[in-house]
Amino acid sequence: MEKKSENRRAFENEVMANLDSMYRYALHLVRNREDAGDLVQETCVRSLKAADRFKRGTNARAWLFAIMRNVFFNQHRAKQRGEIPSDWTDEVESGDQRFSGTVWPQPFELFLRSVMREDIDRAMSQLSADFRSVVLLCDVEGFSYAETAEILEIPVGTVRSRLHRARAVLQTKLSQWFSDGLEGNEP
Amino acid sequence: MSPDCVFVLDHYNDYISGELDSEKVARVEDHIRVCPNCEVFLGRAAAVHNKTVGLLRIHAPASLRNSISSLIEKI
Repeated sequence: MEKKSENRRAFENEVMANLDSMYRYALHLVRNREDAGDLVQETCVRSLKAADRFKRGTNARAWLFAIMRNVFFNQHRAKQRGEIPSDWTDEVESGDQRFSGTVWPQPFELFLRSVMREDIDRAMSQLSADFRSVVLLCDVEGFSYAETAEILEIPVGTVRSRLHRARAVLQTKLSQWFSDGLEGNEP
Repeated sequence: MSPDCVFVLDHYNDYISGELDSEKVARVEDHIRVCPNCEVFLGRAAAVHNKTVGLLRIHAPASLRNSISSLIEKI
């Protein structure tokens, strides 16, 4: 087998390091686990075949997301749907087990996680796909406004306004979890 | 509502996103030290953000990770 270049190895490391992020974005796009896995694989194939264009130190992560988005729109545009699927809910439930910041007795914690997760799913499902995209890319994946704009091929101002509106919806829908009797104290 | 309260209201999302320059960050942080209402407002917005992000940050299945590892060796 041909020896892989240092550049290629570096890119492979980027792919593996970003697999969780890619899977989350794929799940957001295609709405079920099987298709999400397929989308991640196809994105990896496309990106690895073009890995010679990757330069170390550049933003491989944003590039991977842009490739995934293009693959998705080429393959699935006609099948786009509007609602959050049960698989998303299942993944959220079985995925990240962290519930940072608070220590509760185990049964009560599980109960609260379950109820809160349902509320978050419900709130997310009430956002349009465009709004969910910016929440996912900016908030969950930590991309900057500029990087998100590049991935989604929209202006930075649109990223900002969508994110702000999406967060406002989430804060309203989830306010019961954070209510401390201080409603009306907004500046 | 003071001008600084309005400033916080206009910029809290960018503050949470880490998209404000240092001068604006300082203005937000200086204000919330002296304004309990803005401190509560910003704290609640940050709490919703952090909890939501935490619960949405799921992981790829091990089977997919293994598949991609194999794929990398083949391509």
